[in-house]
Amino acid sequence: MAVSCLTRALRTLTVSQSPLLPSQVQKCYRNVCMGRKRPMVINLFSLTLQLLAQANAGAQLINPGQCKGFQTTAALEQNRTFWKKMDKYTIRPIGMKKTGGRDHTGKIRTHGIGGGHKQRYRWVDFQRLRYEPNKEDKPFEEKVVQVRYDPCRSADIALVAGGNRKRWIIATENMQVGNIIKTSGVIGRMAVSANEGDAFPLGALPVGSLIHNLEIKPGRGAQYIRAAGTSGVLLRKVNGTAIVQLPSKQQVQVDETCMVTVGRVSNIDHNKEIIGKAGRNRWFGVRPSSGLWQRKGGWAGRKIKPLPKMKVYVNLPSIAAK
Amino acid sequence: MIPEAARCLRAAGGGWTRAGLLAEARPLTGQGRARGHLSPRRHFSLHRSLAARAPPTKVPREKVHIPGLERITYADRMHYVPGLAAPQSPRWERDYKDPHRYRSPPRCDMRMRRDQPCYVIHQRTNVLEGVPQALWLTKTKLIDALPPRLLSLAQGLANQIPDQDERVKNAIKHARFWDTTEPKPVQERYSKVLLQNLLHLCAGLLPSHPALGRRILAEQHSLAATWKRGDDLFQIRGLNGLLVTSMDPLPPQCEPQDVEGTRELILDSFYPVSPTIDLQQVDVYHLLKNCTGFREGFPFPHAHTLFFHDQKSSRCSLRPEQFRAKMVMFAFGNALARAHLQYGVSTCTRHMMTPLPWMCSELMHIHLQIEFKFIGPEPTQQRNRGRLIHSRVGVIQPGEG
Repeated sequence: MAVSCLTRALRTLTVSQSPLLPSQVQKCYRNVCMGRKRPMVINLFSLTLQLLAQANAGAQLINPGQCKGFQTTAALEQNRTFWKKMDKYTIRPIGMKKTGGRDHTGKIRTHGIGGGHKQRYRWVDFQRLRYEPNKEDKPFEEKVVQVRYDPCRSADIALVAGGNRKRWIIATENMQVGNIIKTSGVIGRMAVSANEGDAFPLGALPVGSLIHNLEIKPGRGAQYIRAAGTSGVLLRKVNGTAIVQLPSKQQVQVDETCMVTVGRVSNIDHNKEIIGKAGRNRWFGVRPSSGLWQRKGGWAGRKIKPLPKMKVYVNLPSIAAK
Repeated sequence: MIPEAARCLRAAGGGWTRAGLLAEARPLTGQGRARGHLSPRRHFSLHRSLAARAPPTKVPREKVHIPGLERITYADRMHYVPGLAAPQSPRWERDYKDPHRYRSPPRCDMRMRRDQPCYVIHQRTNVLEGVPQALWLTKTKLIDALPPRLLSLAQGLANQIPDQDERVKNAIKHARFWDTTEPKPVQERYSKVLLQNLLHLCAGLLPSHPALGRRILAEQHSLAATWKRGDDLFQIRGLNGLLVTSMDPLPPQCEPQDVEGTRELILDSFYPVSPTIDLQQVDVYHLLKNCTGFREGFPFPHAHTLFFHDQKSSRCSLRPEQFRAKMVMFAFGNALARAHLQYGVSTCTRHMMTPLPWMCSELMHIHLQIEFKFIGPEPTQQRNRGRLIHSRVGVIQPGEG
């Protein structure tokens, strides 16, 4: 912070009419002496007079290419926008800067974003099976310390503590402070009887269980079924893979070692929330659309559609290879 | 930074003159258009680039090193040639010592580094589990009452101040209403004033209790104490509260059999949370760091009471449970530092024959919480055994204790 303040202060040196530096005085003095063929011994008073005369007469002796403006650069940490890309995990809320939908070149990348209440980002750890150092491959338990609102997502988040660390996770429907939640990466012969909030691989859960925080690839972190009130269903387990029905009724086939959390995401009444007025949407940082064009919704088009094809996220061996 | 910046300034300003500065400054500022107008100067070229969203980071290209193959560089041409590799020169190590440009070696290469980190408790430590965690860390037993000896002191008629209730009320009024001209003094102010007033009231008993004159109130003393709990190393460091130190030690407040009874005490655990959660993990090179915060030969060596003030700042304010944990920890740390000074640091197992009494209180409201700490014999084995703490809300009482 001190460094950036200093560089900012120095940056104004180009624009303010600051006193000359000793080296510049020296140079200027030399120019004066050589250009006007004065004797080398000159007192300070006459030097000042010369300087003033030169400034009034215009820059005759100055090469414009010599002066390039004083540029400083500084690593302004507070201006970074990579709040999710820090090296070390933190539960501290991180301040965000609003982009207004612009990308790094300044062009609008996403329309309809701008304004809204100031928000701070709380780094949610979507990889539930993140072992503590030196405690790999052992199931672990964590205690819920706090369940709270998160401005950056529709679901609530929960602060859990276990071992020597704390982290934010997505809260489940009935999660309370003081609950103990379990995380295990073991797939046993028998299906586990999991409580809400526990995280297991898909292969360890019984068929038909309600799940959320679905991983697409093992170890990548949850990407599906994270919105408020949503849940998926584990339909069947086939041959080292598992088939899950998403909230959109689409079915996906993923590896059975993908981690999921049991239960339903919190804030189940999110879809019943009444926005009430246009200004409330502005509080959330949504700008109005132009008013000329409206995207066609569910009222338009075919009503009864066939289910989409199942999405496969595992590399199945091809038939020719068999 | 300042010498470097000055050097940059000197280097960049080598060819400048005053008029040149003016001529070049105009396009940078946009002052040319609005000359003489007192508008805030805006640096679009600077601000926009700093405030914009940063481009996505590029993944650095992987450098393939094939053994036996030598890369052709443009080192001998002494200029850049497209298609040839950039010459790699080894990092230059200066053979003289320059403290201005000293770079410490990475943490893993430090000479005195140990594999195990040290857990450090300081004034802003916010332990998750509160008092039970502090009890676990210090092997302490919590007793929910004041010791009977102190109670009898408080009820003794000889220890009563004349018009005690009235004068205490006046002290409170002075702290809350009459101390400043502000409509409502902030807590940082009135709690300190209230403490001074109450101590002043106690000092009124000096004729009957001459020991009161042998105490002082010390501020801003910095503490360092080290101990081991199991395999983990712990340290208490830094500033703590206001300390009343005296020339004479406090008399022991607890019976020896009570202290002996704590040998069988099993402390609460808080599974799945580790007791070392929220403690700062640091690499400590001086393992046996021990300092009471006072120099040797200080005429008031015996600690009497430690007063804590809860700072209501958003950065370091603690919730009541965590604040009490901090009080327990620092009371223990102060006692431990003095015990180490008395009995030596290096011996691991020892028996302290004389207990070290200790008081600690909290400057929150009119009530002052008093905690007593007695360090009994150190356990010879590392098990969950306790020491004694008495804790209750009360008012400071003058007297022997």
